Amino acid sequence: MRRLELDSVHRHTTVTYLLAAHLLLAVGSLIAAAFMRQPATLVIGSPSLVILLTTLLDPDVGRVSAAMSVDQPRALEGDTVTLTATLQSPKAVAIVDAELHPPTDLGYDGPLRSVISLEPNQPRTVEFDIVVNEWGVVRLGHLTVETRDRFGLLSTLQRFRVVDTLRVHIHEAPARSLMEPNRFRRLVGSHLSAERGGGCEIADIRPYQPGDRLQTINWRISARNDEPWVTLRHPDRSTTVVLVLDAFQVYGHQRGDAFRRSIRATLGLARLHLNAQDPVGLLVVGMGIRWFSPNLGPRHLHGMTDALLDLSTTNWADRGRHRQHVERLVPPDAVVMAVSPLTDRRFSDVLTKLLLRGQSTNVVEPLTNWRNYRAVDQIRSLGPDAFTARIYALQQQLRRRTLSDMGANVVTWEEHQPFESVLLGLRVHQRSRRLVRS
Amino acid sequence: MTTGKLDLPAALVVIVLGIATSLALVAISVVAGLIGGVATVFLAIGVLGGVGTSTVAGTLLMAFAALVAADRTSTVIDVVIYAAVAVVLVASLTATDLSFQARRMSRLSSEVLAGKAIAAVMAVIGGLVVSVLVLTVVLAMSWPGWIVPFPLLVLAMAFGALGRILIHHRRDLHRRRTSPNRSRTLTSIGPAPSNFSTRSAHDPYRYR
Repeated sequence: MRRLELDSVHRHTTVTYLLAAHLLLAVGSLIAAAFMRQPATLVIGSPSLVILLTTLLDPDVGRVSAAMSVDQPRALEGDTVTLTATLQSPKAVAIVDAELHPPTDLGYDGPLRSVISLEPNQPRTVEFDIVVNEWGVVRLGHLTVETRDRFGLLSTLQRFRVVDTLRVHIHEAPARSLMEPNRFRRLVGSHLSAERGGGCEIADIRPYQPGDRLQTINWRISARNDEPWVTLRHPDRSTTVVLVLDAFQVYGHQRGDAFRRSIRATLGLARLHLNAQDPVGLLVVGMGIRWFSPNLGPRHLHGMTDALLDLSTTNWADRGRHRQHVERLVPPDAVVMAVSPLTDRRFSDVLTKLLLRGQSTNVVEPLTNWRNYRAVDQIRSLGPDAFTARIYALQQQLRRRTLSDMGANVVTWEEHQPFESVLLGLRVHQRSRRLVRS
Repeated sequence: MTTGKLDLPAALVVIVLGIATSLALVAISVVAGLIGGVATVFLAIGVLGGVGTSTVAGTLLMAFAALVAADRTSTVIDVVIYAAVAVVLVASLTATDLSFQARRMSRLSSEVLAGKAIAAVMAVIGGLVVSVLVLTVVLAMSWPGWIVPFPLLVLAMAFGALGRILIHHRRDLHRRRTSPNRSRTLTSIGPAPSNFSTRSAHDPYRYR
């Protein structure tokens, strides 16, 4: 249970139409009784007169204080979270009408409105079930509390804005296949290096040389050759991975789009490599920069996850960082894994600079549905949609080809393709490129 | 807690009461019955459509129908007609208000329903008792002249009280903040480390 900060922004008392109705009835009957000399007409307005006098004798409808909490501090996309509003008043309030107004991108499960009454200093709770459909940093809207007297003649409206936001996590793209790096740290990890040393995987056998450890002697081969032979093994090494995410994508509000897939893939890769004891860094490049230097541990993963969730807003970048020389942030021995649809020249320029520095670079390219691309609307005047889409597709292809020629491993990711198969494709790509080099 | 919409039940109550009253008025005066019928339509529209103006218009029309139907020769019959119409009017206004309370899908506490019904019944009974007492006093005397400025006095008092309420209660932009409770549990990506706050240090909305 997490308490939410509320900001009481508005309080306003009004009279309702019921007061007008009762006033007209009471005064009308009195006037008729007095001026038309029909005292019996007093009967028709007498209940209204009693209601008016009762209300006017005690016109204070009551002020309600509100507190809100959410049942879970964070949510996962598609979750239903329960918001609990606790209402309290120093005096009895006959009718309290509490209504939650969530933003339009939030769904709800059940009524968003509750009508209750309050006893003096006795808190009461009302619950609202909200369905969070969209990932990101989500605002929760505001709560209006309308208090009315018993007859509903006077109404006081209070409005509480929920200041706190709810972080809604995105489903990670499940990833199991580690990429095969060509640079390693001198620390133990999960990647099979091409070197010879202590490890599990057998690399070769050779005759014993002075200095070899006795544990490496292969007794079976030694017996066969009548001289000591040793087994050589591939050591398991870790590598530094830097994930580079393209935040120039501005069409990120549809399910299944490239931006969403990019974030899912980045999260999946971050978790995969952190689990493999690889220090993982994150570089988000868009209209600003967000940089996490390579590190290990769950705290680092949570920090990167938060940074990715911030991308749902417009205020996600580090202050004071500029896009110039962004490639210098990446350690020289790091393996770069970029996730980008390659739709923006500025992002492919960053990748080009990384390649020029000799950085080992891999690119996962979520293919774009051009029909959904907002920029198409902007240049629609150039011609029919199909023609515009072709221009964009050609530009994308050109960038892909350029990066590939410069030595990057570029794999495409279709909309309904599992991410794991993309990673397997990347491994095949890496191996074939290695074979060509050798 | 009652969950659901109350528009239809409230409208049914109003329509049944309106039709019964109109039929009773027709027995006395056809014109009054017709006016009562039109008033019922207005009241039904007010309840179903959530239109306060329509409800007020229906209420006044119903009162007018009662005036038209009044016999003016027998005070007892007049009092009975007016009392019946007063009951219908208070019931209609209460039902309309209830349907406004539950105009959309909402949870309505049963004590609110009961409290409102009890208050309406008490108001009707109290009003009728008071009016009958006043009538008895007035009729016992010859037509008292002091009763003429009385409505004006009540009117002035009502408007004075209203003005006081509105001036006293109009307070805008009253700001108050409650401190948040920073929970340290994460649900979706596993348990967070103890030194990791739920709210990120970089809150994109807070520091915009």
